[in-house]
Amino acid sequence: MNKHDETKMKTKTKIKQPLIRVKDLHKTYSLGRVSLEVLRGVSFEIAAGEFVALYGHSGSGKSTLLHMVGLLDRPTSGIVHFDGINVAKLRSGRRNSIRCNDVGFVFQFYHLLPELTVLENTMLPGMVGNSILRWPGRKKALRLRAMELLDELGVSDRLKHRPRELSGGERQRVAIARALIHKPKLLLADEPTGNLDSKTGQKIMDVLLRYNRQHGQTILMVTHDEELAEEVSRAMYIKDGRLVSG
Amino acid sequence: MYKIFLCFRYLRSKAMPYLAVLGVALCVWLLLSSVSVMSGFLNKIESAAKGLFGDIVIESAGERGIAFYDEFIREITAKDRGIAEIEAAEPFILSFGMLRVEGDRNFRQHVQIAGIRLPGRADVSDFEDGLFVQANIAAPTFDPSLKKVIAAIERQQQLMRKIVQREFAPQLEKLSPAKRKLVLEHWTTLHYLSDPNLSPEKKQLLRQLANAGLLQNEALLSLHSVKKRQAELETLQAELAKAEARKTTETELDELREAIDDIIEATGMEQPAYRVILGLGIPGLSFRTEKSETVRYLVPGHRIILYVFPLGKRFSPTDISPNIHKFSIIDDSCSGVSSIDNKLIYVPFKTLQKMNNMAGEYDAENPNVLVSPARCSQIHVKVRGKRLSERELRKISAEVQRAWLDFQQRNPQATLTPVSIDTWRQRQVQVIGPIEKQRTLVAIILGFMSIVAVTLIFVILYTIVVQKTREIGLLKAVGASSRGVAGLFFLYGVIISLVGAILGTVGGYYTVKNINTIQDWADELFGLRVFTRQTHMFAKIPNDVDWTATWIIMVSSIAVGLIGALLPAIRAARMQPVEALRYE
Repeated sequence: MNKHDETKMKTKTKIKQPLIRVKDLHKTYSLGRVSLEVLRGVSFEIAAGEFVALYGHSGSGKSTLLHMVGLLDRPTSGIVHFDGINVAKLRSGRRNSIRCNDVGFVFQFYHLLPELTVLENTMLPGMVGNSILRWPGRKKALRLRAMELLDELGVSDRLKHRPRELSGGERQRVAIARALIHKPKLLLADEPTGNLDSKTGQKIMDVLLRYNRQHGQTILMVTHDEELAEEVSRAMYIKDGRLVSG
Repeated sequence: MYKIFLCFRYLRSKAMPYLAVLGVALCVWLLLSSVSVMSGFLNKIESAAKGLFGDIVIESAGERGIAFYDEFIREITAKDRGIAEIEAAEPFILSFGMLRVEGDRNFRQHVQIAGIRLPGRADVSDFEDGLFVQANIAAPTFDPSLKKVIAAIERQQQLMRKIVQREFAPQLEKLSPAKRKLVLEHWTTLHYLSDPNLSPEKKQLLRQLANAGLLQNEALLSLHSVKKRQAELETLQAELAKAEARKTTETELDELREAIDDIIEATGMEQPAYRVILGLGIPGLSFRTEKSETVRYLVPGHRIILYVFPLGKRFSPTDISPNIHKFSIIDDSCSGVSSIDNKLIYVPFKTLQKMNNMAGEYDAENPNVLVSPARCSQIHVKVRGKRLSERELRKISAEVQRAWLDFQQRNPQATLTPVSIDTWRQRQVQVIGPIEKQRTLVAIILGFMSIVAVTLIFVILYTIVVQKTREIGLLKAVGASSRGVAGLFFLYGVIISLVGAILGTVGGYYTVKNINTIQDWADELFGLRVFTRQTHMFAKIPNDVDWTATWIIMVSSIAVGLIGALLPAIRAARMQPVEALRYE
């Protein structure tokens, strides 16, 4: 291979950018005169397709960090790059759009809307992301996608049920389906098994692992359970607002 | 998309929004019904007052009246030199007198006697609308066709038969078919319905109907005899006119006059100059049923005697003696306001002018020299355009005033006492003022009640926003904007107030439209009668919906809902998603 060929190869090889790049992230909350520094210069990267667990004790700042990455909150200082864009400085409208289309959230307490059925809860991000004019054109595809997801997650027999008629595990599956409806680039899970018994928790964990392996879904999961952190491709330990390992 | 979808889900999922809708609906319903009924009263007074007196009234302060009225009317209505806004004007005489019914020695009723010109009267007022025989005929007269008169009485008798069938259905059932037919055809057989179990009111109604039926039959007989001899009468009248033109001997004229008088006496129908239109409601001449139907004892064809106290000339109170004349009833008039209908009798203008000593007087030796001009007591003016505001009317009234002052300067004899020129509203201020004040008061009280509706919507929405805090956090987490979340709750408030306002308006509309039926129900069920038909100023509670008020009430109730929804919507929009998700 001559020198010319080498240069050609280099340009052909895509330099793979990390999906998430966090650099020197600080977050301080002001509570009257007292200020509380929750994140103290956190830096890390997550590549596409990775399943990263962020573990630490309660109050360590892990949820705050998750919220910064998920565009739910803005950092006091530092940079959060989402797919190459510095989202910390973006206007609300753009941040809403990224949150709607590229980020999926799974919460400890599911946060399903009690007035909606399982299917409607799953389709909710689709409704939020589409105006009344665009909705009729998109509804059918979204419905199919939602039913597909619910089928994959084993809750397809519950489509017309309300959240209160489901078990905790089922609710969390519906919440996962809702988070995945838009095929997000990043799935954020905040203690997804925290409210479930260990058996059901493990089942939910298996679902997340399956999605990561089969579909290459990038996942950042917050947990305080060290054992769960061991099941994923990489674990980051956070203590007092600083990343200690990973 | 989610705003509408979630909004409807939130509305359906809880009882609270229904309560809020009910609150708004009740406020709108109450406001609309009460304001509409009160406006209805005011409109009725307005149309009755304008219907009788026109838009502007020129009145002489003294009883001696206004002279050269026709000249003045010509001046103000002239196409080029007159007042452009004036459509028509008519002279009017108002006098006092006593009424007796021919053949009834005991009946005496003091009345107000109005001298009007027909059909000119219809140009300045809605007089023709309330007529019995000549209802809605553009040019009513004191000499309508006999066919019309008889048809009106027959209509009246049909109504009476309906009343009998309705009120005495059980008694009719008991009769044999032959007797039943007889009862409905002959008023003399009405006593067949008499039953010891009948309530005193029903017994009285039966007596009243029988009495009215018999009296009406008498009038019908008289009218039929007039019809038979009409051709003969017309020939004699034509001959008399010719004889007068020929200036023939007095004897011949007297013979003709006597022949005419004989026919009049035989038929009982006076000449058009001595015919009256009765106000429908003069006590003793008709009665009103519970269902607000008017049954007449006296109908066209009957004769009355009028005693007119001639106030049109200087007189000494000790030697005032009435001018008396027989009159035939030819029609009756219902303005809808009982204070007018129960005392006014309309007679031909010229006849009353004579009887009130207001006719023109000429020198005995030289008939071309006018000693005293003919007079009227009022001039009624009709203004162009409908429903002019009081301000506009006053402006025109001021122009009439200027025109009058100018006219009087040129004709010093026109009036001997000052003349007042008022709009219809100024003349009715004593009646209208209190009702207008009441309407404002009710609107204010109910307006305060609307504050309850605002508070209700506010509290309900605020509670919902607080309850939904975590859901708001979730919505924001899945990409909903602050504006979108605010819009969701704002829409929620709008729908509550809109649905409430529509329900309230529909409820109010049907309440107002059926207010008289509701009153009947309330009377039957609870014995509650707020409005007594037989005695009240109007026959019915006004049931016209005030559409201006409806729009104002609807728009303000929706605005009120928006105000109630505003704060909770702002709170929802300002929520930080992270805090909202953590909210417990």
